[in-house]
Amino acid sequence: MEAVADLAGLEETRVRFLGRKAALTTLLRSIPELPAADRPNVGRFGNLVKRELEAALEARQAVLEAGELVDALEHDRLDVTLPGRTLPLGHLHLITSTRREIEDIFVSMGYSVAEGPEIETDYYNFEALNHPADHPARSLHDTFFVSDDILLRTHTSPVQVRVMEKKRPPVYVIAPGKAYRRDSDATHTPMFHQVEGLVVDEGVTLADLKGTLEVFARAMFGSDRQIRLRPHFFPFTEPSVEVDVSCMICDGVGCRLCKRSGWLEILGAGMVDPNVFAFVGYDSEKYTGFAFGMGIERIAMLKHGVTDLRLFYENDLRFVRQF
Amino acid sequence: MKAPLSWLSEHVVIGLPVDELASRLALTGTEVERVAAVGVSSEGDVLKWFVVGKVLACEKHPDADKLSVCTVDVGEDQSRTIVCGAPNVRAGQTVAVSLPGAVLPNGMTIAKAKLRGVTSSGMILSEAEVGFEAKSPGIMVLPDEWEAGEPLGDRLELAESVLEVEVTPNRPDCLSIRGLAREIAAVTDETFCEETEYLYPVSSRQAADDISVEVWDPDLCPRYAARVITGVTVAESPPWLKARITHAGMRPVNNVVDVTNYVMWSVGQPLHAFDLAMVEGARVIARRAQAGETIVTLDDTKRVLTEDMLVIADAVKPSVIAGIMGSVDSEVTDSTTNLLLEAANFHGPSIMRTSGALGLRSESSTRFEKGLDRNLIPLALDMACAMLTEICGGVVSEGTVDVLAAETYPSKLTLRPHRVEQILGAIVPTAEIETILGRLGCEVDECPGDDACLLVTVPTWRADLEREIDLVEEIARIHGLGQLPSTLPPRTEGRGGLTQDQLAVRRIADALVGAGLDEVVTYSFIEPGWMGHLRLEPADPRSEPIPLTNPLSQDQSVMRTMLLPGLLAATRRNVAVREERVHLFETGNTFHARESGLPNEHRRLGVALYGPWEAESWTAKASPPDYYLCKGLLERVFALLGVQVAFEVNREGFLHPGRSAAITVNGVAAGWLGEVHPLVSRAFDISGHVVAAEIDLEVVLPAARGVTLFEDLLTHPVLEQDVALVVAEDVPATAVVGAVRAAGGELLRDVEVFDVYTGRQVAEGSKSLALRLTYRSPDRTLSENEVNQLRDTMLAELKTTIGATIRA
Repeated sequence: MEAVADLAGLEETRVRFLGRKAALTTLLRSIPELPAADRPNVGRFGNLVKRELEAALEARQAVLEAGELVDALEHDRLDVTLPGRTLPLGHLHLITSTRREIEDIFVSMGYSVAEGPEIETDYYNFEALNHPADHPARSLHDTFFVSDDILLRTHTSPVQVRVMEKKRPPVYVIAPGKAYRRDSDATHTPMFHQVEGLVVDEGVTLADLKGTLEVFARAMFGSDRQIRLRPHFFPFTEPSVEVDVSCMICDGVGCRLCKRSGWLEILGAGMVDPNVFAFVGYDSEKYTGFAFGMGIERIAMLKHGVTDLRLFYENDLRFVRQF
Repeated sequence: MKAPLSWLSEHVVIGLPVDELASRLALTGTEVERVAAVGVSSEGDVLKWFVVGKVLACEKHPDADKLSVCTVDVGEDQSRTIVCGAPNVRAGQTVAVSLPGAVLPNGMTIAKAKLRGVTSSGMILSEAEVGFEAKSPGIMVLPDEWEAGEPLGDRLELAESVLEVEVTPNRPDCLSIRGLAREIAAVTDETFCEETEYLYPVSSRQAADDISVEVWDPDLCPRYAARVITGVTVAESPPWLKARITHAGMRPVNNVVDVTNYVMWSVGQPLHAFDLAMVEGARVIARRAQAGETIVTLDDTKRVLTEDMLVIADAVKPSVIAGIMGSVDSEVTDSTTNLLLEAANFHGPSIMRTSGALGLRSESSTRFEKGLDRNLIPLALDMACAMLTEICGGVVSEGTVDVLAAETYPSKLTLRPHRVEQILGAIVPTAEIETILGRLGCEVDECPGDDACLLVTVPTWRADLEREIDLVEEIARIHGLGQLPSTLPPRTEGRGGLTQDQLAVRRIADALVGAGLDEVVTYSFIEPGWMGHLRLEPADPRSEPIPLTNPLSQDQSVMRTMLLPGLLAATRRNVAVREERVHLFETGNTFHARESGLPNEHRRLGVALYGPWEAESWTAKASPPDYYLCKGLLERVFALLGVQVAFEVNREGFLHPGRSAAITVNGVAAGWLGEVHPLVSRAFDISGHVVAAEIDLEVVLPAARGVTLFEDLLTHPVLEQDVALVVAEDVPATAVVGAVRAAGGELLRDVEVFDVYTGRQVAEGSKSLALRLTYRSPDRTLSENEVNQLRDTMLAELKTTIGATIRA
């Protein structure tokens, strides 16, 4: 049996020893013709041999089949280093993925996400944000107009006013979206994206703004980041601040990215001006609040090292597909 | 605002190195954009090579017409020979000399050199050569009192540091050297010092005898003051003044104009000097312009004025657009001898409006538009009179003609120290509050009868401090924001999160990205011609996009009504850089005009597919995208939102007439899809097929399912049957499926088309649709017999409804 090399040989062996013409088969078939006294012994012995032969054949067959499977699999080899079948994978635009990242940080702190129209009235974009007509602060915004008092919003801040008109405090909200300014050069595109934040509640302080933005900066740029507040001017906040994050490249030592200052400006913020509360009928003695606004492109550029703002709007897939 | 450090130092001791000063200013609210070193390098001791010289003799160069050979005393034992090319060099002059070893601002090193055979050991300098002006006609002539050999750097600001400061619009007081010096004093705890008394020769003439001032519109001109100076000589300014004017970023003009600019820079009050002889009728009138009145401003531009603009006029004509720019007619010229000097206060918003309407801004208008302190006027006039008489000669007529609508007094504010804590979240001791306000020029007292409250008197130059909260900000910035603790809001209630719609938009984008599409963000304003490429009917409202009144350029001048043009442009861009597979989507708003009020904004999803879906690879052949691929993508989006939609035959001019569909949700138009019409692709310079779609998310999202309720699909199995129906070729598949659903009974749960056949086995003009029918009962397991009966009843009905027969 050991000498049988393959399944065909095994079948030959089976036919030879157990086939219709095999000696054992002939013997077993001839039992009725034997003397009665011999029949039990011959029958018992003959069947024992038959069973042993069958078992041996079966065992050998199992061995041979296993060997043939191994050979067959061995034969079916692929070049496993060839590339896989292409399942196309798309990409979110970096503005969207950054926007989501910002949203998720604030949502995890309990903020809602509000949206508002991109074509706005002068009232929401300027007046109710404490930029009266002919106020010099308006000259900071180069505004696109649709008519005398309808314009493309120059920031996402009008959503603040729309939210406060609809809801009494407490307010914890961010407002992401597009904004437009009439400016186009290496560091400005006429359309850009902002995320506005607004918190109004009893007992909200500038220190709370600082703590909140520290949480944000660390979630966005790494747990080692520091922030610093610099006084600034915005008509709709008082006090107003600009917020810097310690440079993620040099860790505050000073490098080319941060222009040797160790700090990178990331957003503007401040305590909501009582005049803004007056426009929406909030009691500024009872409630205080803070607001902040950041450019999504700016955050994305800092985080991903993008050096040219205009790439965001060229929609070249060699850019889009990197992120 | 450019502030030369030497000028600031006249008013405050600058005890910090300049970069530390810049950082202290930044952290207290005055951003220093840069500190520029201008003029000669101050490194090491190189300044010692610049000295005062006396020209002892000056002779023509023997071999060069334009050169002079000068003998110059520079305070050494022997005089030096210096060759000079300037036309104005004369013996007896006191001049500025750079000796060999000196390096000029342009990088040139002075060395002993032979000029046409004469050895020159130094150079006589012009103003331009040390950066005092852009271009000089000749050498700089110095006062004769200066002695030979004196270090020039002791007399003139050869090496200047200029702070370039960004002043926020609420701080017009810092648009002046004194204002900035006062701010530096406050934030570095130094003393501010200011000269307030000026002496000048006064004649016995009365100014009021020579001129009259009439303010017809005091609402736009709360104060107008004028002085008269007679007998001046208009000439070039002395070198130190040119240096200051240039270092401050202005351009020296003549001594009179330079003095008025110098005073403006110093105190923040713009001045205007008129040639008195040109003031017709000796009358100065501040009045609104007449409609259509014109003036040619100093920049040689004719300006047409409107009735809301203030002008300063004489008896006959307007000579200045008040606070903005003068006319060429009233300009001081070389022949001017008598001056009318104006210092006025104008209504800020009016200046802002006029300057905006005319597109004309000046150093003067940027100050006036922010609102100036009326009390600056006497100081500015005194300072100007003293400087003019000293530099230009002449005498000042007695008296100021001063028309003042109302005096401005310091305002008084109350401040509750606990409010400071309430806003900042940190305690600032009352004593510190008082010190800080004192450093800012405020007076602090207790409120009468209330010792928990401070009464703060605010100086008139800080008109931005109007309310308690403004004082809180001042305390915060001087106290130092770095000192604030970091805390989180004491949240009392509520929760946050994304809305269902916001989550749905994210899921749509994720599904498309998962399917292989790349997201783009295109501009909301587009080229109007793009809409013209789309073959829209003239009555189609989409062909009338909202225009911007002041676009940056024609190609970004109207608000998009569709995403398609932007997507096609993005496709073209990528095709142009040889990208083979351009499969794009965008979510963004489109803008639709309304009769009145704000336009409608619709958030839409757009898709554009160009180039093979699967890249050619060793496992696959490239296959072009087609209608059904795009439809499949949309079906995937609708399936994940749980929205039932219908696709119907559609005729959009920009799509292939036979390969496009309209999409509806509950009968409401929700978008379209199809192959882009070849003429449209061509108009966008794209050769080859583009398949595109747009979905109105304002319609689709509200239809998206809320909570899914459980349905038992496990207990009783489904029973499936396949049938092939022969119908006329022009019957759309949706009609067949609709008829089958209608006739199938309530146990027919699903109908799916799995094959379409036309050919020899069906009659000409017919097609066969193979359908898989899925039957299921919620409460029992169906038998084959029961389903056969249902199916036969249905087939009989289909024969009459859509003329369908079962395929043999």
